[in-house]
This record gives sequence, structure tokens and C-alpha cells, in this order.
Amino acid sequence: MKTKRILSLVLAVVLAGSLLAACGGGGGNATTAAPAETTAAPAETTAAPAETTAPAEETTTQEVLQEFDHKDLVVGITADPKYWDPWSDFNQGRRDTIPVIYQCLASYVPDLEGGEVIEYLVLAESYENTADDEWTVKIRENIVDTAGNKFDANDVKFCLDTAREKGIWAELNAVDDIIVKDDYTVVFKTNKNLKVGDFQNILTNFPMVTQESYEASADAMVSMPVGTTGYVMESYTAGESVVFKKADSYWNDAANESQDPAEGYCPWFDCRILDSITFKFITDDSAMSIALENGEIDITSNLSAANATVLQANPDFAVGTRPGNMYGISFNVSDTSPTKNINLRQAIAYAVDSAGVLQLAASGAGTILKAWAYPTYTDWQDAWDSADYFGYDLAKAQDYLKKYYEETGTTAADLHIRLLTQSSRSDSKIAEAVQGYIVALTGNENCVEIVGVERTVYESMWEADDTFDILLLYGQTDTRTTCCYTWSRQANQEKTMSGNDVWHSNDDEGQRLLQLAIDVDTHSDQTVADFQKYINDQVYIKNMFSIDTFIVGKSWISNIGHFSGYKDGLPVCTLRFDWANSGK
Amino acid sequence: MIRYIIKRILMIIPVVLAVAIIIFAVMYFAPGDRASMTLGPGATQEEIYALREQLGLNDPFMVQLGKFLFQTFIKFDFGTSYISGLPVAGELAARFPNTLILALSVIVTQLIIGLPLGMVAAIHRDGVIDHICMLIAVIGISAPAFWIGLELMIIFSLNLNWFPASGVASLACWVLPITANSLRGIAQMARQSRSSMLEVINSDFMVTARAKGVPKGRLYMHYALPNALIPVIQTMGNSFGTSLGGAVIIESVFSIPGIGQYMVEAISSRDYPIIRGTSVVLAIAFSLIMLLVDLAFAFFDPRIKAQYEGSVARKKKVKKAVMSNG
Repeated sequence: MKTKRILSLVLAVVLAGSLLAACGGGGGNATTAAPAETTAAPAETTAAPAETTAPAEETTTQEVLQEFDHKDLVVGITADPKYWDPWSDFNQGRRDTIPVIYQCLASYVPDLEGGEVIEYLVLAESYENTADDEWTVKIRENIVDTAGNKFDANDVKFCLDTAREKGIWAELNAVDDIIVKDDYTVVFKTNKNLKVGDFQNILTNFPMVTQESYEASADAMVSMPVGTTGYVMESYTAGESVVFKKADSYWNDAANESQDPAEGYCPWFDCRILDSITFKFITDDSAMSIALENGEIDITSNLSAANATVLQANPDFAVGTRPGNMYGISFNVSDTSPTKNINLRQAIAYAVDSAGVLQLAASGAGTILKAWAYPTYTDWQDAWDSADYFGYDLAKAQDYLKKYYEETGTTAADLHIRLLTQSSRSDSKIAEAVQGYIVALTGNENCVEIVGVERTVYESMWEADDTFDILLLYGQTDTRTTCCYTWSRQANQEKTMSGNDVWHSNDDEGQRLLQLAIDVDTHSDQTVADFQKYINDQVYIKNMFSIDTFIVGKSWISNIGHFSGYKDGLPVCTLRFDWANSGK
Repeated sequence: MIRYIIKRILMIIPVVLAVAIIIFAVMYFAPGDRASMTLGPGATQEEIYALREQLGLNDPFMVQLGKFLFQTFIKFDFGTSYISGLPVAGELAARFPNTLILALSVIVTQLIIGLPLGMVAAIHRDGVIDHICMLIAVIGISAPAFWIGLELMIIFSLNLNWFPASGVASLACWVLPITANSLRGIAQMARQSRSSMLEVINSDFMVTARAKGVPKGRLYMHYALPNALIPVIQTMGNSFGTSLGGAVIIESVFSIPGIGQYMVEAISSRDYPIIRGTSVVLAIAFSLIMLLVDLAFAFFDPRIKAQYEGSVARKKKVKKAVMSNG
């Protein structure tokens, strides 16, 4: 009996040990202990992977058209798109695959190496703000979809009217009417809801199809899409994969040959690069990494930092990065919250080290930000790069905290702050790091309560002024082109469900400055700078950083991370391949 | 017996109705709004109201519930996904076989491996074989399914390159997920069957049979096993039912498009038709499984079969037996 007990105990210890050993490898286990005085000690032992892609090269015709029998690429993506119609909700799978089939009137292509967003007119030849509340768009005359149907101005009206009927495209509420002036000219009648960047949003976010092909489809292209790119869907196996093959012809082969944007060239749609593209749906990150290593896929754009770092050390792989979401700490300044006090907001802003949080949450893989904007935005201002933007200064933070205590009679023991965040793994890690810094500031281990909820609940909770004190606010980076997109949606009282801005400020001056910045007629560097300065002075938000996501491919794939794709997808036609060494 | 079966089938209806109403109520009152998720931040109240009107989400609770029950149980239509617009029934029909394969594999492996493992352990009680069998069982129950799945992937897919790491494209794709999913079921079956066999092995009739010189093989297979099967069948039924709805971890790790993943994605995106439709289907499936389990009890144990028969039928049988005995 005694022997049995000892044996059972030994077995239990061995099992527990093996489980811990198996589960603990690979990093991603940031601690939430309060950081050291001057800087946070990184818990991660893996360093942020540096960019390994070669500098951008001029694409030569010879390189692109290298002779190879089957230029077939297999891409791993994390979600099954499930449905292929052009205007439904986007999931991650659709973001990766929709641009292979459909084109928009224009495309904004983030050139990550150049640090800018480049506008390419694809289906549109030109567009112009021809009058107040009126935009005129000229369509190219030679567009044909893969079913052979011509695309013209009538199809533009059809697409936008059909999308509007679905009721899920809020941007179209800024468009009162779409008038077809002639076969290749469309006039948009807009209203006062149209803010800076909104019209460009319409041009670049709405996939276009021909009315004929759409109406010929039995299910509105849900199961079989027909677009204007150089690829057609060959097969789709739900939950498994989708295969796109090069179409017999592409309406703008000439532009791909000349690579002249004036002719409609866009690097996203250069179908000379690949004969077929297969997207395999692999939902688990570790399974994705294994699929890369055993050759089931050639490239993926959604690998975690932990797995990407491991593969980066392997010469058989090339790793690049692209910016993911940006994160900031945004304060509730309504009367229901302790953060209504500006000294407390100052204290927290100076106490949270953006670099330290980034290191704890993402091994430092990202970009520190110094404005509520991203550097590729067209209205980003270089002066912001060198601005004093709540740089980590614990002594200064403690001074502000002391002022707060003196003004309000609060003590550290009384302080209770609710930090609202989404409950995803990455957001939770950021929230824990922020919590650690605030705890280090106040000395009260229980002063910060993290309220982690799923996205649907998060989106409704921040609209209420009594559910949080600090909001971990996320924003999009290279998929947007102007500060005003984010400002218009989160800081604009006219556009939120609550009728107040994200800070619940009831701040008329803030709204006035915001309207000047986002309004088409008054938008300028000055008005943008004024609003950014105002929210800095009021300490409404400290935008911390954007976190990189990793693109990992086989070593025979290059130009990884040079461009970003439509809605953060992987722009497969901008990659370059050494097919001779691919083993295919 | 027939009457019992019919009665049980009819009882499924209120069970499924209750599940449907509870799920509907839970999702109705759960925080989060489909319309504001779709339209994103910056949507005005008017825009959200309009979309909710379009989706029928502005109707009062009882109206929405009535429409849902009528559509589901009278028209047999689960509706269409708010996000994709695809019919829920079609999606379930496409995904159900994958989940069914995983669930059935648990049953098969329990029968082929778990049951013999438990029997052998019971027969060789306290011996080396017993300890080895139970060690395997403990590991199977203790190790998390996702960890087993990843370890199998690393060993057999990455290092040995024997099987694919994900998908359902070929038969080879199923080996690793079935193995990972079945280990816990095998372990549970081994422990349960060992326990049941031990109870039966020491009973009086077994001693008598041994004393009469019944060979060992026949002793265990014809005498012990049928009497030990009741809890075993219960375990199998529970495993099957749990696997139908609970294989979501294996489905995620191995990228299998099954019902579990479908439901989890729908819950996080508040796609109510999918959640409701899947719940109803799972409730019906589980109820039918439990019915089959009960019928299996009756098949293996005449005492239980007698209980299922009505009192009139029982009296007739007794009278017939008495008359035949003279």
C-alpha cells in the first residue's frame, strides 16, 4: 500500500513536470509584476525579430517572367472566408482572399519600406471634387470581368446602390445619390456627413463587379465570385482551402507590362507573378508554424511573435513584419470617473512606459507612437516624431499624483481604476503591463481592475460613461490613410451611439477643433495639429504603439513586408519568387 | 417496449423546446449587439436602429421568440447567418459529418482499446499489467487535448512527416485529430470498465461459474462482460454526446470545419441564427443518443427491459410463464 502511494506520487510529479515543460516553451509568458523604477525589466527572453527582407528592388520583367511551369503559391490563413460576395462583413479570411478576385475603383497601397501610402487608380481613371458636395469619377474604358462582361459607370452605381441596400456600409450614408453622366463618368452627390478621407474610403473599400455577372449569379456571388482581377476561383472546399487560378486574360495586361500607374497598374494586381494561389485555412498558430516547416504552406502573414522568432533563426525561412493595430490608453473624463482629474491623467500618462509595455506584451516588436495617428497617414506631421509626448518619467508622474491627492483628498488606498480591454490574448497582455505601471506609480496593488470582455461587449461598454475609467483603445494603422478616419469615428459626438466622444468629455472646444480638422473644407495641417495638441493638453489619450504582425515565408520568397495588402491581407502579387530553388 | 420508445421520442420534443427557449433567452439578454458590431465604431444610433430593424432585432422578446419557434419547429428553417447570409441548415449539414467523425471515433476507440484495456486491468488486478493500463488511463485523462494534439503534430507531422498537420482533405488528415480526441475517451472507458468488471468478477455467480469449470475466456466474455456493460454503455453515450458539441479544441488545433468551431465563432460574433440552430440540432442529437443508450441497457439487461414494458404486458408474460410451467 505504501509502495503504491509513493509510486502514485512520483507519477503525478513526473506528469505535472512534463506538462509544465511542454506548455512553457516558446515565450509569450510576460509577467505582470510592477516594473522597475526606470524601465520595465522585459520578461521575454526572445528579442524582437529584426526585418530580414532585402531592400526593395526594382522589378525587372525578366525576374517577373522567369520561366517556370507552375508558379503556384500556397498561403496559410487563419480563417475560412466562407462566403464570396463582394459586400458582406469582412473576416480575416476574406481580407486575405477577396483582393485576389475583386478590384475597387482605387487602391491605397501601404509601402511599408517607404513609410507612405501610395494611391493607385485601378478601375477609376481619375476623380475630382468638382463642386461642393460633388465628386466626379471617370472609369477606364477597357475593363472586362473574368466572365467577359464589360464594366462601366452603370455598374459603379449598381454596386454602390446594392451595397447601400444591405445597410451595413455606414460610409455610404455620406452619399445622397450616384448619377451616371455617361458610360464612363459617375457623379457622387455627397452630404455634410462626408469627412476628410471618407470619399477616398468609398473609392478604395468597395469591391466592384458588373451588374450582369452579379445578376447572373444564383446567390449574389456568395458561392462563386466573378471579379475583374486576373484570377478566377477554381475550387473551394469549406474549412479546407480555396484555389484561384490565373484567368485566360486580364483586362489590363498592358498596365502590368508597363507598370505605369497612369495606365492602371497596381502592384496588388500583377497577375504575371503567379499562376495559381491556394489559401489553406489553418486556425491554430502552432499548426500554422508546423505547416510552414513541413512544407504544407509556403507563406503566412498571421504568425505569432513566438513562432516567428523561432523560424527567423532558421535559414530556410524569411521573416518580415507589417504593422498591426495601434493601442493607446484613453481616459474617461466624465464626472463618474476619478480620471476626470487632469492631474491623475497626467500622472498615469507619464507613469506608463510605452516601450516597456511593448516589450512586455510583444517582445518589443512594434513602433512607438507619439500622436493619435500612424506615420503612414497622409496627414501625419513630422513634428510629432520629436514631440515630448508623455515620455516615461516616474518622478514627474508622482508629482502629478501628489497634486491629485491634495486636490481631491484621495489616498492611494482609496484609488480604484477600471481598465476596460478586449479579452483577446494580446490586448490582455497589454492591459496587464499597463496595470503594472500604474501599480508601480501608486504603490497600491489593488488599485487597477482589468475588465476584460469580448469584442461585442467591449464595443458597447465604452459607449457608456460609467463602465470604465481607462480604455485600452485600439486603432487601425496602415489600412487607413488619414488621422481623420479614426478621429471622426471615436472622437466625433455626431458619430457615436452615445452622442458623446470616446472620453465622454462634453467638450465643446474639443468638438469645434475636431470638426475643423475632419471637415473637408477646413482640413489642413494646422487644424490637424491643433486638434492633436488639444487632446495632448487635455491628456485625453496617450497613444502608445502599434504592434507588428509577422509574415513568414520560405527563403525562396522575397519582398516580404515591402507592401501591405487590402485590409491588412497578404498582397501575394507583390512578392517575388526564386522558383528554381522552390522545390516545386 | 414499442410504447416506451414512442414515449421517449415524444419526450424529446419538450426537451428540445426548452433548450431552444433557454438559448434564445440567454442570447437575447447577453450584452453585445450584432448591428453595432457590423457597422463598427462611429455608426450613429439611427444607423444601428435601421440595421436592427432589418434584422428583426427591435421586436419585443416574445415576438422574436414566437417568430423563432415558428420558423424552427413549424417551417423547419433555421434561418440564415447574419454575417454570411448562408442558410444555417446548409452549413450545419456540411459541418456535421466532420464532428460526427470525431465523435464516432471516440466510440470506436473506446470499444476497441478502452474496454479491453479496462478488462485486462481488472483481470490482472494489482499486477504489473493493471498498473500499466491504469497509468495509460491516468495520462489520457490528465493530459489536455490541445497539448496532446500539438505533441502529435510535432512528432508525426513535423519530425516524421507521416501525416498532415491540419485540414480534412484526405484520410491521412484524420489520424492525428482522431488520436488526440480519443485518448481521453479511451482513458475514461478503461477506468470505468475496470471498475465495472471488478464489481462483477467478485460476484457469487462468477464464483459459481468458476467452480463449475467454465473456461476463463468464456467466463469473462459471456458471464462477466454483459453484466459489466451498463455503466460502460452510459460512459460511451456521455462521451459521444460530449464530443458532438465539445470537440471545439480539437477542431481549432487541427483546423477541422466542425460544429464546435462554427458555434464558438457565432457566439463571439453574435450570429444568433447559427447559435440557435446549432443548439437545437445538438439537443436533438443528444436526446436521441440518450434514447439509444437506454435501449442498449434494455438489450443487455432483461431486468431493465422488463421495467420498460407496461404492466399489462408484464402480467401477460407472467401468466404465460405460469401456464407453460403447468
